Amino acid sequence: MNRLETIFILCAAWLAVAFEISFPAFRQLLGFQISLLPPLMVYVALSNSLPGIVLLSLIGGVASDAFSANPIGISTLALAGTGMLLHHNRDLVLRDQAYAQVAMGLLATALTPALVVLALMNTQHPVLLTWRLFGQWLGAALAGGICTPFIFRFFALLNRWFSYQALPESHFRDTRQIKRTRI
Amino acid sequence: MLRKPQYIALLIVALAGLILLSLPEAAASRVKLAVTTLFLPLFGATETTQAAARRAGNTIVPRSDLIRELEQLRAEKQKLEFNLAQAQEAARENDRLRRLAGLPSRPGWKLKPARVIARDPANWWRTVFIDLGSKDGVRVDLPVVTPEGLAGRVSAVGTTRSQVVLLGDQTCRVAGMVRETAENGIVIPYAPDPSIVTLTYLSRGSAVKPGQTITTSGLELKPGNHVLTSGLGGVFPAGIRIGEIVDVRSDGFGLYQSARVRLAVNLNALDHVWVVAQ
Repeated sequence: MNRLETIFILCAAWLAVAFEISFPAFRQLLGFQISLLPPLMVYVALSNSLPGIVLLSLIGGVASDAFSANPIGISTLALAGTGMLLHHNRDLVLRDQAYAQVAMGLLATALTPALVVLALMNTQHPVLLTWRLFGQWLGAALAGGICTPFIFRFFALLNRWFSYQALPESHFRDTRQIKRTRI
Repeated sequence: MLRKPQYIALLIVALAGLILLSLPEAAASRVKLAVTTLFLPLFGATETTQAAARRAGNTIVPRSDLIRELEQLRAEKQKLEFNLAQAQEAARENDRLRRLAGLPSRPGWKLKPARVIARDPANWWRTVFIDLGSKDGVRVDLPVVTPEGLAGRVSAVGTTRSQVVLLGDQTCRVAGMVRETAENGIVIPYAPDPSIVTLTYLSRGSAVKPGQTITTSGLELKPGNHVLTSGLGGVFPAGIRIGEIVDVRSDGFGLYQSARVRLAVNLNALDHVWVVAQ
């Protein structure tokens, strides 16, 4: 994993949590908060290596739980589970296609809170399952799906700015060179 | 089938997650508050931005508007001074009567202003963070209010920040009272609508049909009745406004009644709050 990209991912995780805790406009407008950590996990799981998934789930999950009434560590497990699932099947996903990114973002944003709620059902303070929560879950999943291609574009832009570009492949083939020798 | 590195990664995360989940409540709370320090630059930046926006806004307000607002505020101040004088006189009289009756005097509230700096990212909890902590004398279970009414209570305290659990969250239950009928009940969440709570375990009345009111203890519970804190739980002082009754229904197979109460405070738009240090 590129060290610079790891730093970018951690910064993005910080920004995602900062957005969730301090930007109430979506909550006021739509009635639910949009989570950007699962779309970020989609990018990391499809384009990065396992340490990236581990780092993002640890840092992002703990930071998110620190501002929440969730038991600390519960989001870490949910994010890691989602990341591992996507990473395991990443050869089957056309990750450069926008529709695939949207589909994976939708899946991740739906799966992560579902896993958290499932885990919370076994704690002292289980979540009240209501139609309102179901609507919020659907809305947040849709929003996460829409955000995912933008995260891919953002990281592509960062990579273009800060990484060395691969040289275009030469058409020269050593095996096809006509060797001139004395007859 | 997972490959070996995937097993190792999964094991690391699972182990870290389980260690964090098995922490005792006090330790977990300390870890949470420690992690929030990572976001100190964000809180600072938010405050600076808001202050800058306020200053910028102040510079573009026309002078005539300012003068008109000043006149209004002066008039309001005079009115409030009269009210204050009346309230102080009533408080003195109350103290005198309490002394005569041999009752202990009612302690006054010390209000500490606080700013909401972060909200719960999860959609299923209702908590916020404020910029006051143990350094400012904030303790767990202190009530948090706004000029409109009760907002919640402090649930965890750090040195400079505290977590506040808001009304309507499952972990925030309040002993409430209907002002007009003096009926006591408990305020619990109403899941379908976050701006409404349920005042339940009100004493039993006659059967009710939609649109009817119920008679209890000779007094009617009506939509529009005010609900206040009763002070019975020992956490919230009596007399803080919670909201107004929307409707009343018979509950628990007719054993008691419940009323839906619209909250006085818009919890989605909380910006500044007051911590009540009793």
